Amino acid sequence: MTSCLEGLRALVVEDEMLVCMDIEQMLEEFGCTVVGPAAKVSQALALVDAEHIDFALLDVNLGKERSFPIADRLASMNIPVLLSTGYAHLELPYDRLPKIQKPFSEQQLRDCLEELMASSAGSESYF
Amino acid sequence: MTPQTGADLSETLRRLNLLNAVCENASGALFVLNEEQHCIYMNTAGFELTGFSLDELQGRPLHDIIHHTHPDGRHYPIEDCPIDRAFPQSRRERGQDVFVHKDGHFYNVEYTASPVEEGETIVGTVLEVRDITAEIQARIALEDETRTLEILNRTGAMLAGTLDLDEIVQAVTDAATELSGAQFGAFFYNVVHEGHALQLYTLAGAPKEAFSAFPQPQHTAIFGPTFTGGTVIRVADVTADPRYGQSAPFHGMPPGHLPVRSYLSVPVISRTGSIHGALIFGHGMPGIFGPRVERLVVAIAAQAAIAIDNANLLDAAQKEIEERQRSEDHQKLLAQELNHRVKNMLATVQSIATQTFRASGEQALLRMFQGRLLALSHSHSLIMQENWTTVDLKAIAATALTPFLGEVVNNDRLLLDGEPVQLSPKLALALGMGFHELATNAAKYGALSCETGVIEVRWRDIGEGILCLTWVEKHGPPVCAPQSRGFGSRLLERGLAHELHGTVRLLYDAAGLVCEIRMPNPEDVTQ
Repeated sequence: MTSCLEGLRALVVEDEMLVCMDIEQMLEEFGCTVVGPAAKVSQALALVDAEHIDFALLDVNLGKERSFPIADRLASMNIPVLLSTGYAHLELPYDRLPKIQKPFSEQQLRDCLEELMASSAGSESYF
Repeated sequence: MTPQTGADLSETLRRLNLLNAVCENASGALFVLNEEQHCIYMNTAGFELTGFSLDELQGRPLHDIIHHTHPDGRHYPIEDCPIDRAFPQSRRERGQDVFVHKDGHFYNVEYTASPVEEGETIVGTVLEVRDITAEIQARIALEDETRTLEILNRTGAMLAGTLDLDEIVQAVTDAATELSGAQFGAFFYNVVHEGHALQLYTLAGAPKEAFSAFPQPQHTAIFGPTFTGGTVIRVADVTADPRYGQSAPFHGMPPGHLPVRSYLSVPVISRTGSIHGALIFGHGMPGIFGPRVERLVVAIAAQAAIAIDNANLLDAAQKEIEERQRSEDHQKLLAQELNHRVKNMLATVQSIATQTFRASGEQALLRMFQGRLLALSHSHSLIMQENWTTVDLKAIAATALTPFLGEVVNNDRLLLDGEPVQLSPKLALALGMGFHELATNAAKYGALSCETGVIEVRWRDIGEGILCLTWVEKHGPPVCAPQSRGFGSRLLERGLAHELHGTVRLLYDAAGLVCEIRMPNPEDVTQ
């Protein structure tokens, strides 16, 4: 099955080791190349500067940090972002970003990412 | 001049008698002064007015006897007297002034001073005087009353218009001090703790510094009856009162205290009977506060009590609201954190399973496990959205069935029908899992395993607080009872029944599976 996800470079930011392994495998199944994964904001921002990235999957809560600065940077570069979160609601403006509730199945992640890439072509920033 | 006849003389005498009768019977005091301002005639009313006999008025100008001093004690020289001017300036003078009685008291008069002329020459003055003390006192009393009403009205309007405690107490203290004629007034709060100290709240007529150097006043013999017994204390001279000066350490007013002789204290009593505090007034002169002042201040204190009660009620209500808001915010924060942790834990459990099963190659089992875990997680999401309060039964069913049917709203293959029923989070999780198992079975063997099958879910109260929910599959492949019971049927018939405190029956009807759940209706308020 060919997918619009095939060959894309995905920044993964996730601080749970096991969840991270799972996501990497799912993304590889979709034909994506994983950039990272990063578990901290500073690590992720360094990757954003150094690497080519097509989209990012960001866990909102990174222990003591939130991943919002990474979302801000990516938004300024027009790189699509999917937030993964266990929170029911996020503070604005981040609540307007595409979200996926943890835990998620491979199919749910695929659906969300395909929608993200399809809509990102002409999308506006959440600001 | 023509010589007078006897008839003329008797006529003159008759006229003099008449004139004398007029003068002596006049209610106004009449005086005739000569060119030296000495009194040469005074009628009976004049004697009654001044207290002096005509003899006593001789030898000095009348001014020096009845008009020599101003009410404030200053000397009143004759040169300044307008009555005196009637003579040298030859014109009628009218006016009001204050005279001094023989016994020393002052009285208010209205006078007319007219020159007595002989041809071109002025030889004296006629002075008419009327005592207007009673009129003036009546006018002053009326003005006082008007002013009192104005202050009461202003204070009442102000008290009705504010719920600010500081404003209320200041307005009351100011108004009561003004009305009572006190040099200073204060409101003391009744602070109930060890020693029963009285807290100075506000002052009128004196700066706060005038009291700030002293320790908090205590419930002494003079303060106590007002603050603990709620009685009014009005003393003409507090330094002469037996209750005064009994308490250590000062035995009276502390050194440097504003001098107080007249003392009035009026309690401010709330509608519950507790004593908010007291209005206390002082004056350096004795005998300032009469019963009228006491009545006025008691009336103001009653208004103040209502206003303070209202302000306290508002304050308490606001504190209550703030406290509730804080507690709600805190609860939301905790719920958010709980959600996050639950979800992360579920994600980690899923990952462990994925990694474990992937190695063993048991893909079917992995999918079944994932399905159950996600069903649990989705029910959880619904509960989170409702902030761990309650979740609607229909919403729980729809959430569980969404992964199998896609969109559940307006789906021809699904009917969800029943009154709104709010489920506790625990019931919602259990029913969510139950619907997931039923849907999984339907997808494998039942109505969702072919294109034509439909599922009808209905629930209603069947009386005696029992909610009956039926899951009926139709138009699917023929159904036969399974050989052995799997996890799904065990979860439904044992686990769910237990969790719901009800019964769950699975009927493998050939036309389609039927599941009947009976449980205590969570909407039934009698339970």
